[in-house]
Amino acid sequence: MNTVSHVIITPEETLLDGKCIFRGSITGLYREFAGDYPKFFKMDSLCRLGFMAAELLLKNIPAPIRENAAIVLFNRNGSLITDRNYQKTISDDNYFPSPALFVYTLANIVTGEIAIRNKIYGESSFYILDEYNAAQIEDISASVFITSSPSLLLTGWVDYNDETDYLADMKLVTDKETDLR
Amino acid sequence: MKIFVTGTGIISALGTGTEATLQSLLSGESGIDVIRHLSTGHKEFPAGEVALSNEDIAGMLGVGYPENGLRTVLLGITAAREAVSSASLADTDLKDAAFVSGTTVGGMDKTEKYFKSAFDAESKTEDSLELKYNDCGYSSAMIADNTGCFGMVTTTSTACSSAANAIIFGANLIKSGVTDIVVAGGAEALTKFHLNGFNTLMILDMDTCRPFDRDRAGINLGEGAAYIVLESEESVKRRNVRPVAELSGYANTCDAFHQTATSENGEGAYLAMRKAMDMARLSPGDIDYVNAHGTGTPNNDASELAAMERIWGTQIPAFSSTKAFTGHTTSASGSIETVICLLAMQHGFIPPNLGWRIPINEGGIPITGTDKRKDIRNIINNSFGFGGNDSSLIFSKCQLH
Repeated sequence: MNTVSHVIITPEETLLDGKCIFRGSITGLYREFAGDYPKFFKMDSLCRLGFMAAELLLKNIPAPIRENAAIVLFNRNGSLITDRNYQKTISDDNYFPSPALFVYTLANIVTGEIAIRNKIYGESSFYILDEYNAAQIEDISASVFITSSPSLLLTGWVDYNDETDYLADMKLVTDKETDLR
Repeated sequence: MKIFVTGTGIISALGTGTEATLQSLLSGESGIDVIRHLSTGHKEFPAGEVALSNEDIAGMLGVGYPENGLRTVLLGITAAREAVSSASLADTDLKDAAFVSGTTVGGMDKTEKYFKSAFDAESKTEDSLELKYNDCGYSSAMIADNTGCFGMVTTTSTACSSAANAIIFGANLIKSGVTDIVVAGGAEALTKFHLNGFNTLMILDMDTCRPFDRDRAGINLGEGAAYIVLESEESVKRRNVRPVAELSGYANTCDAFHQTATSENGEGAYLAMRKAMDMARLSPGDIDYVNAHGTGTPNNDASELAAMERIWGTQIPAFSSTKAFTGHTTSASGSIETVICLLAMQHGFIPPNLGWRIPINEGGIPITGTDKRKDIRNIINNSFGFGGNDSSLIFSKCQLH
């Protein structure tokens, strides 16, 4: 697999292909590098994180190529932060649960949000691993190219615990030298 | 490269085991009833619960703490053990095999039970430890460890297409040479979390569900687990086992439309079925039966029917949703319905779409009576998940060289 582009987002900094391009919150990152998608503010933290990583990776990729891309993401905590927040809304006897919160109690909604924004119709998968395992991520990513031959693959780790502890380590890869212009 | 299915295991509202499931399907009796086991205030919603209590299943399996308090795990072990034994897999076969399980709920039932007390001063220390079982990956690992000593264990979590994606991923593991044998499927217990969640989305029906009916009003949830054993042709020959069917095609696509709703023209569903047929080198006319996702919500069924019409026009093959039998078993539905499809193929019948009365349009008429057909060669099984995550699997009658 060839890496086209690589992004790392942590609470400290955002690195694009090894270069620090931003320091600050995910919302700050959105204002700086996206800013035109108000739905961002409806998303939960995991989706915002994955969404911004995808924005940075896909910004120079033309729409027809994006359409046939695949998305395969991994993490350890699933959507636990939103599960907890949702559980709080239903733990009283007189509860009023929030549909807007409930839709984010699924880890793979982040792959859906990225697909909706970028009109990606290819394979989309979400794996929950016991812990970060680079070899397993590599194996699973490589297997995507066996069957569906996507134009590109958006893959990597996207895990959100709280505002001081999150990591997106995502890559855009191809299986061979592909012209992405 | 061919991928074969050599074993099945299942537990759902239709009973425990593949044989009991077959008998329930043939008798046309739904497993949907009033809620008995789940502790909930929402008894107004019927559901397809597994008849056995946690104590019953734990006793049957001979497992103790902590498995006896984790319903997803109990259901999973029951189905996984049956799959392994029906494929005659020995311990030596499992050491290089993979276990791939789909779930979204995982150990959420423990979390619901202990969430409040885990933060109380007196009970905090002990009860907070119970929350660790919430993790989906942990839940799969416990199912695997109680079934055999697998070489690899992993979890797919893509909502209602989780188990179908576990099967797709398992097939890819075999094709990429990582392993020869994969036990793949999913497990999901009914919890307050998703009963309340689906109620919040206002897509549950207080009546029994009626997939593809003009007046359908939503989902009845269900629960259960099912696994199938996938094997390479080489492994089938080496072990000298008789395959149940071939997994001849599969595809996963994204609808890229909305977090929970599906697009009007069923783009994701259409692409998934198309791509699966391309892989299987089948044309639309080769498909004898479609086991639809057919949840019974106005949105899903209209969208899925639109996708079928785009492929088959007015010549849609025999199709039905079996969710009026089992309830919507969410993350386990892809594998539960796979076992149902395999039974239909082996025994030559099409499971009826219970509860159906009035067509959505003139083309959209599912099979309602127990339709006896001699030969079902190719079946499409659809599973669509929130996030626009759409998967289609194609099972074909075996042709071993």
